[in-house]
Amino acid sequence: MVKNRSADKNTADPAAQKAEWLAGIIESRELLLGNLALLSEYPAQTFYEKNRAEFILSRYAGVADVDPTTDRVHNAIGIIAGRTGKRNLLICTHMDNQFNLSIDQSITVSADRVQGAGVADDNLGIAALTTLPDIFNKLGLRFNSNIILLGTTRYHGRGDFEGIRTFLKEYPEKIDAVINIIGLSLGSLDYFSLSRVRCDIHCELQEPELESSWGRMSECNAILVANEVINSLYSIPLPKKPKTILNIGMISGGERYSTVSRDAHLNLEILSDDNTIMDHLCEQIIDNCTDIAAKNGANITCDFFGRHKASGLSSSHPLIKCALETIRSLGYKPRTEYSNSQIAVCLARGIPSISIGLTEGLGGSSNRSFIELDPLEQGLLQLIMLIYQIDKMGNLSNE
Amino acid sequence: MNKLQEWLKTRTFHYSAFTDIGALVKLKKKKKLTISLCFPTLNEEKTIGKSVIVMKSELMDRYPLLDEIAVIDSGSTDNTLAIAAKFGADTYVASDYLKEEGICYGKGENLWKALYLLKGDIIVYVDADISNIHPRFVYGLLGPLLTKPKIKFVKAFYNRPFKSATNLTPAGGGRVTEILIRPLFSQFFPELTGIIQPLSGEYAGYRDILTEISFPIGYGVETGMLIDLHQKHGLDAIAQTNLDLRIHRNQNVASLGKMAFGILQTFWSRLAKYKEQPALKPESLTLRQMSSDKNDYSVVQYDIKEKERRPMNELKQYQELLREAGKNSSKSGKTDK
Repeated sequence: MVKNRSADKNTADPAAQKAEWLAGIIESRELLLGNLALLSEYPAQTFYEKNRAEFILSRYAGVADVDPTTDRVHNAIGIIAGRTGKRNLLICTHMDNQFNLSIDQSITVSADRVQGAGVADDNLGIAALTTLPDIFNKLGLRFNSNIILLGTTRYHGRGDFEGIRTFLKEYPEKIDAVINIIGLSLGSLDYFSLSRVRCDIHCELQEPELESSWGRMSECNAILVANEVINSLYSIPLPKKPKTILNIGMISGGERYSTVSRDAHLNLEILSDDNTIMDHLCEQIIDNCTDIAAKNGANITCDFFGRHKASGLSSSHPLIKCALETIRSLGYKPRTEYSNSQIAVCLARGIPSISIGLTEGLGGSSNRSFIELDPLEQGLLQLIMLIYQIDKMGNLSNE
Repeated sequence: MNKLQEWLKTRTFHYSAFTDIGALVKLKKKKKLTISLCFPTLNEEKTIGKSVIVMKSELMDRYPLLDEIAVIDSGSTDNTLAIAAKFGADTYVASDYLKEEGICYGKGENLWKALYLLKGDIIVYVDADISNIHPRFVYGLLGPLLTKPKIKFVKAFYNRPFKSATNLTPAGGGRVTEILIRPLFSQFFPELTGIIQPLSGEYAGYRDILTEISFPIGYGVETGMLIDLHQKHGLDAIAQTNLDLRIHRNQNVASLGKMAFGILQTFWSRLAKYKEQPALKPESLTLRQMSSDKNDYSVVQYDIKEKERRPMNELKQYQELLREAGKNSSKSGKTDK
């Protein structure tokens, strides 16, 4: 068990307190990196996060003040009861990633960085969430609010934030504020989400009589049909006000060099400042695909999912003011962006929510992905300062 | 053979029996023991950071099972020592110590100097090139030492993810073990054939038994250590733990050849020391290999008697054949047979 080295003492001088917290965070560095190393050994592809959740729960079970629990979608939950317990502060991040079992996620640690697939997006976030109770103990921190630590499942792709949705729907008490932690980048502060819809388009042809491309000459194939769909998508006029974009994020199809492709898939996302335009755009996509399918004798399906309404806080909200001030106090320039993370679900439910980054580095799914260690100490200090200040805030409602 | 099978049953463990690390810490405290972990290194910058972090965070900070983590280095030219030091390991360059004994380079040298430099009553040795490093590599070895008073030395073995044609897992070691070590053990030290992977780089033992044996400085250190400890303390003082999967660099055949050559030197020196007449007796002509069915290990015996034929030119029949051929060739004027 990690020893509690300072018993709930809160220094009056903020600078001294910050220095003391930073020292405690530096002392906790190996605990966090140890958790990062071990978590990386548990693959957690979306819908298959159970082993990782069990590891986190075993960690929470080892800390006296944390009540570990889970739910029907295997979220990993650790509850630290507050002194008064009048308020519930949710600290969360997602456990899953998009790596299948064949991807080696093990990390390499050098003097100043940690490298490995998934380390920045977002194994670091989940390692920080797992280590937070130990850091609280190391710093002697106790809070008035209940602190709920939540590692969510089913975040990516078809998971569509089901982990956080399930938690918010089924947790018996009101959540008063949410801090979502992500690996990159320190200084980022997300507090509003855009209207969003995702769509999987599947183009399929009937079984060809002749499979070889030579035999079929110039007959259509599914990839060419998908190409027509792409052209039609980009011919849809998108308004500048409200700002709206359409992005084709992934494309796949075909089987071999030598065969006529029977199917092709497009995965796209539409984002807008405004909720009202989405239905119209979805209808237009369906109409275009219907025409292209008829022309080519193909079957095209459009599956819309992952719909979120635009929502968020304003920079005058006390939570945002507090977060901006905290980031500035650490010498970083705040960078605000729309959030594509699970706080969209929280914001849509009217819960004051922010998403913050912990360090610098390089994201992405390759094993070139890395995080830098020196800024990480500041990133963790930022998180502790935020939790401490939110716990002391009087009013968290939107002004 | 029965003794060996009995030893396999009572001295073969799985790390999962020792996952209650808190209980091991209590035992350690009750026995008033200190434990040191040694990573012998040479240019291991890719893996040493993670190794130190995992062991320090889990087995020092979270559970005070280890009292000391040290890296003993053979002269790395990369950042091995700086990285290890940054994450809390004590670091030593082996050649800086005990210079009066002469300077040697090799893994065995580092392990030997660990006995001088480290303070623990128990020393755990773990190779630094393991990419899936996990606390089990340490507590799995300490479990038998702390819970079974008669056990003084514990050796690691690992699952090898291969299946034979019969779908049974051949439980054994790598190429050098199966081609060199196990045949030699079968002939000269058959009790040691129960050690599933005698060359594994992870083991732990009490200081007092490790300080009374000599250490080959190179590839032979594991072989020499096993033979010496067996001769001095008997098989019951030795145990082995399955640590599941170990992912590490594979060596090419040329490197394995060098390893085998070094091991062979150590083996002959032990043979000269412990066997007055190392002649091949009938009972030593049985090859013992390992087999497993899940976690149930057994020794499989094969009687392999290499009979020899005398030189052909000693045979009367051959000599007659030669004479006949000589006659024929003289008749035909040919001189060759």
